[in-house]
Amino acid sequence: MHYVKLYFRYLSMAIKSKMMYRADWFISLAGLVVSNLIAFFTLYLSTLPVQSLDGWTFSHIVFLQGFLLVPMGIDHALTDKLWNYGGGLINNGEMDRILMKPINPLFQMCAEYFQEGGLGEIVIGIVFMCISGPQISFATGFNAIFPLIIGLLFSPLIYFAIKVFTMSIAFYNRRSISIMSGVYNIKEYGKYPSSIYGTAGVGGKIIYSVLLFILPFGLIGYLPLAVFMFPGKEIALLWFSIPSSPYLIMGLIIAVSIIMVTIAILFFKHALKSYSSAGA
Amino acid sequence: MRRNPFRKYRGFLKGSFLNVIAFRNEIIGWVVQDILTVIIMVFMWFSIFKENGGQTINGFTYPQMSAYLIIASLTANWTVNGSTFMDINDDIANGTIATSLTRPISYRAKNFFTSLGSNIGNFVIFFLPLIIIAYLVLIFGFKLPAPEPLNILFYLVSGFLAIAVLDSFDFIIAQLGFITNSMFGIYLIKGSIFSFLAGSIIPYAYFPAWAQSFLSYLPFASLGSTPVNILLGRLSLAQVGISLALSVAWAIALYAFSLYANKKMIRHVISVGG
Repeated sequence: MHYVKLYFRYLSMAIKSKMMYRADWFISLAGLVVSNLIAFFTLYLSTLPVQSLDGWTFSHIVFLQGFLLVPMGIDHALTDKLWNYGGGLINNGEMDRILMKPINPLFQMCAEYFQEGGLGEIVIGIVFMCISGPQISFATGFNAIFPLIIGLLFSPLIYFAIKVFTMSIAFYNRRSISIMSGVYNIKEYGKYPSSIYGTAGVGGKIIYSVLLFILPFGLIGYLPLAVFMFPGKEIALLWFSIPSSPYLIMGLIIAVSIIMVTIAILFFKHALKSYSSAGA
Repeated sequence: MRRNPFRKYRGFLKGSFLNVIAFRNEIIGWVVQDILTVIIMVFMWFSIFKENGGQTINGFTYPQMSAYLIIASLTANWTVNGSTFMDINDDIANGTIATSLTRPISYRAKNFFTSLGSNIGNFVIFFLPLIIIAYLVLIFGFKLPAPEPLNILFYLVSGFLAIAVLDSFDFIIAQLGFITNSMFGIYLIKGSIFSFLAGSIIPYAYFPAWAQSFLSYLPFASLGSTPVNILLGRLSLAQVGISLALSVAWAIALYAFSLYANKKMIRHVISVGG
């Protein structure tokens, strides 16, 4: 409870400091719209020559990309400051300031900054889903939508866990932003239905496995939507297939996200012991 | 006897070149990331071509498309990694722009040569080994022909023109640093807009016809489409001549405009510095 109260204090501070530069709001909004428009056009131009990719039409993929923007936006809005810690703040001695306070360090690192761009991503994601939704058929009813939304609420933890884990490497070697960014950007593979990689030889199989089992970005978007948009169709994984059950996928997302966050926080705590002050 | 006007900038060029060499371990993470991105694209296009029955799409076979994407990414690796944008941002944010302006050198030229040094650094330690690996894959894996010597020469010319064009763009856009603090955001937006309009993500052949003719006259073509198509031998000699002439024209025009922007900026600095 204490932390909830504290969070809102941090939040109001973060928003006040953001207000110093008015142009920033406009620029981050414009940037968001432009980069998503470019992603949209790229997808449109590249899928124009074909009807569908492994059964997924242009509208299906737009829906997938819109859907992915929601958990990404949630994570982006709340924990964006972790990038700065990986990118040199630890080297500048910022960590000393954090460790002085009798509050959970990871909490402070996330709470002291609010990235409004994340909210924009959520809005754009919903717009994408509203545009493409009417052109596709999907399962309706409580038993299809409820597990989808619960899964959606847990999946930001997967992004969060990957960021915390890779950022913690900075406690050993001061900067970790290129590792962070390299691992995080594997999420780009998840923007297309993961099954298309499974058909492309050995390399494709490796990508497919990484996406579903190691850095489970495929679990965030592809699996729940495959169930949602193609109900009743079994989902082929590597050598076995799983039944198309929304609750099964929801359970997987919850289990995997909690396990990943636990591992990431344990690693964070372990790595923090190796932190030595930069002498700021 | 006239002294060589470039002599005083040689130090900046050398300094930033050595900087890239010294920090290569930090840069390699970004290079790996670019490689991963290309791999996604190559696999995505595999499934598009497969869905299409393996035929050519807009004049590209699957191996040609893969070659285009790989070469476009590697070209961006050495031409796009200039330092002008972030250097000016740091100068503005830290106030070091004042000292830079007191030096008896052109601020614009100093930035250009500093940036060129890091471009050359990237060229030597990342581009050269990677392009050799890429061509081994393309020749033996995808059964594509090796590039012709003349095209390699034109490609290098075109690549340096791309650096000149982009550097002026960066210099002009970096002036926004006076009104906003989120320059890194602008840097990312600029990067994604430019790579799309330059045809580095999708070749111009995939754009609608009206956009194709329009885009090929804009300066963005010099940044991606022109060098890549030259190296892949997709342009006739006459087309190469026209595209290179356009690149030269844009490089000069944008450089002149950036000098003008520099003049305006200096006035602004006085008002900021008080």
